Amino acid sequence: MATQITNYQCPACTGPLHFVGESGRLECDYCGSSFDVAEIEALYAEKETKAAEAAQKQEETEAAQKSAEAEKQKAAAGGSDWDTSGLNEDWGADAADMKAYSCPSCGAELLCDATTAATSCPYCGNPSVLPGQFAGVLKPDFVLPFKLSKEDAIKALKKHYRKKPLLPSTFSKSNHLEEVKGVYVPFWMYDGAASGSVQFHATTVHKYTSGDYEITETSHYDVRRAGSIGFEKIPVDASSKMPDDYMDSIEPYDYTDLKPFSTAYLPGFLADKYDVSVENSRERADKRCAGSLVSALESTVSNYTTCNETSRDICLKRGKVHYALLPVWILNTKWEGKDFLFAMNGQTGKLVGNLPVSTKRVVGLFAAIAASLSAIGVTALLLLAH
Amino acid sequence: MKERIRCLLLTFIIALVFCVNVSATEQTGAQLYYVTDEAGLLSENENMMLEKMAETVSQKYDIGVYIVTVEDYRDFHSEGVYKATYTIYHEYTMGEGPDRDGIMLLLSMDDRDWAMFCYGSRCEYAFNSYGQQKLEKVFLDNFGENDWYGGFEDYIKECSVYLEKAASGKPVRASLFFPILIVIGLSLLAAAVIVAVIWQKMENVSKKATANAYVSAGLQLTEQTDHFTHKTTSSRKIERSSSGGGSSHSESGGGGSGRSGKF
Repeated sequence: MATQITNYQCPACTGPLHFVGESGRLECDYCGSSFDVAEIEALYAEKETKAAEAAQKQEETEAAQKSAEAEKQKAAAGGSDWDTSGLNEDWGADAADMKAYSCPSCGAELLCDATTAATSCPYCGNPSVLPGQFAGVLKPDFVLPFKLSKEDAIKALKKHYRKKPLLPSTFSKSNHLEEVKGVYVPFWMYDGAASGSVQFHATTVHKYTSGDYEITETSHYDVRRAGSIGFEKIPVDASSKMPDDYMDSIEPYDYTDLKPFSTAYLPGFLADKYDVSVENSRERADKRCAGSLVSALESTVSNYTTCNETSRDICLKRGKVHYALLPVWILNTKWEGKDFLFAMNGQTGKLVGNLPVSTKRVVGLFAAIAASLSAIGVTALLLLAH
Repeated sequence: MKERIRCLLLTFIIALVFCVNVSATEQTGAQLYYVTDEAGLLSENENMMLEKMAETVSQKYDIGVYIVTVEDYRDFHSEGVYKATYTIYHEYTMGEGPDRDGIMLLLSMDDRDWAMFCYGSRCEYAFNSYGQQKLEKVFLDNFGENDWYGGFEDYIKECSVYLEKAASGKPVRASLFFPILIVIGLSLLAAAVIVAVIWQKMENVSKKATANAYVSAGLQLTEQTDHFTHKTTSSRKIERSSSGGGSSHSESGGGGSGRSGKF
């Protein structure tokens, strides 16, 4: 069941390498060396070829040795043996969702989710990349490297707590940061265009006085706008593990930093391969395209008092779909037994996450504002009366 | 003999009336009677009775209560009936006591204008803006029906009531119950809105409905039509503040405050 796994090691000291967003290079924590992504890619391509040849030879030798040893053990066995008949090799339905890998650094067997593409060994801590996950049609087109570090994510979370008068006072102090992980989240990126027309009902209102009456004249208009708009790389997350609303909320990404995919950007972070298909994600992209066209057309309807959409006829021209890994920091905190999830854009630092609300603080703030305003109002009234 | 006695009696009465007026003038420095009917709206008897009533009230509370009628207020000030009223008040040094406290009601008959001027801190304590607004309701309906004596009589009587209440430390004031309720209600509403806005900031996760950040080619507008279909009209009667038979509004200037309008 064990599958191929790669640990990017420092060519100078063989320590584990990990990608650092700030420098954009692979760095070694042990000797401090840093390497260009392309340099490591070339080195590992050569290593992999040699390793494949060596592995084939070793397999043949091992098979011969195993059969000889089995013969010897049979002959030497005396007394009873451990009963292993109860151990079950059948993984059932879980087998499809799990994969086992051997850590090349310490030899430990790692059990991972079937979609995991990069992780770290829980025994030796070395970052591991599972290049097989990106083989063939699953290989991403682009990767947007992390720019912000774990420390930046923790700092952003603390900043997120500030100036929140309704946040329970104990939350920022006693909530426990359970986990902070940098994840390359798989995204489908849709190119395309939307064209169509939208019908609005708009009004203008004119008020004037005539004698003792105030006259309100409302003019009604049928407004029609038609046009088209083009889109490039609308991101829709392709991982069922990531909440869609969180992934939408940390947008936008700056695509000028987008790089052709290389596993060399992954060490030090987690990465998943997609598990939501292009077809299943398409609806979200379609909705956003149509929404943008309607919003753009509505912005051209001006000089009216009111404007309401009455009908729309939108046609979508679907273009190329790209597969990319985008950087996201996921922060899990626990407070009073409840889990709170925060997500930060690993490129721009935009952090999102819903915060708990203290009922006491809501009531207190409401009472304080109402009492202050009432006191000011009543004092002004009394001063005016006197 | 009888004729001589009658003559002496008449002289005595005239002297007495003169003395009263002189004493009033001397006491206050006012150069006009309490009732000065230049427009000739009142009979001599009515004038005397009103004069007596106004004098009694004025001297009891040491705040002058005056009535002046003229043909055209523009003879005193061209810029408005209220300005004309305080011009008369100051030019004829009206008022009681060292601070010349007093209230003057002026009717200008040419265009049926009226004004009320209240001067001095004690007078303004007795007749604040709410009190003045309430006071006018007492006489404006009479003037609207050309009942001059009735209007002036009500004015003096009501002034007496106001001054009595002020003297006992409970001047006529608007009830603050409903305004305070409204202020509290609005404060609660404003507090709810502020808390709702702050609450909203606690939740910043939502699905996106547009993709504006990923627009590569801006909007190409191919059609733009605006067709007028129809027009609807609605009307609302404007509620104007009115008092009985006339209209009015508050005024300030001349060192005091008051009201003016038409009757």
